[in-house]
Amino acid sequence: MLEEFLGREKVAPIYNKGWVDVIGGKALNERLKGKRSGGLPWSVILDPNGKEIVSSNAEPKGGNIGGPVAPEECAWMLEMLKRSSGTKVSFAELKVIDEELEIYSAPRRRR
Amino acid sequence: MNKTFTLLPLTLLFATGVAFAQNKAAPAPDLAKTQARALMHNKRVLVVLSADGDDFAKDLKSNRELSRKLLYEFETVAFTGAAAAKEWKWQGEGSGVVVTDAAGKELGRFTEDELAGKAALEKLQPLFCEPVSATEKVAAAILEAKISGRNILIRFDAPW
Repeated sequence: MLEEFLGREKVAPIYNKGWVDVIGGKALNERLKGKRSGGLPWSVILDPNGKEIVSSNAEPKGGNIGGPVAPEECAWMLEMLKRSSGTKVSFAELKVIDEELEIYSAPRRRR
Repeated sequence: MNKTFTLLPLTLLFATGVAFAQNKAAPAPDLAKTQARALMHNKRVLVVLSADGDDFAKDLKSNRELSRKLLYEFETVAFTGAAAAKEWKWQGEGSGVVVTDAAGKELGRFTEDELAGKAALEKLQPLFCEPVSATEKVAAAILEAKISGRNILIRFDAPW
């Protein structure tokens, strides 16, 4: 689960430093996701004015990465965090998240 | 031929097989964690009780009418066998489900037959959680983000 990954020992302090964590529900999902493709998990990052910065619908094709497992999905997850990290999270900390994501996702890939 | 030499690969093969089987064994269901997730995500808990040799949780997931709703509305925990059935005071024959709230209060129970096909959604829908106000939730997050200078990550989770 995304929740499990974001709660990892090395990830959680960085994540909480850079982002306000909100667990969505049906109403929020319908309002924010609209007609974009893909099921769950789905995530979106907003700025402090409520404007969308990026979502888990990966550019340019728009497919939802869900819970990232494949290398390209993990790359988009990192891109989402990079685009929205602001000044609170450093490049080195993003690298830690990248490494942790690989550790978490690699065993889940189909061999 | 040296017997030790001959038996060693077999012993290793057996030991590896046992270790592999142990590694493949499903982890024990954790009701407390499931309830905690249900509380956090404003969902109900679906306790799936499968009779020996049955996998009712899998059957429910393959029910097209129900599978998406299961992800949105329930945190699922699955048990198999007579001991679990006894613990949950399950008196129905075969498999079934017990629906509880996040605090463990029972809200309903249904047999496998009652949850067949389209009937499943009709039975379970009245037990869904009341939705949280999206407007209030976003407004609170925006306020927190403005104060702390962070952005907001909104996630809609499901098993990865």
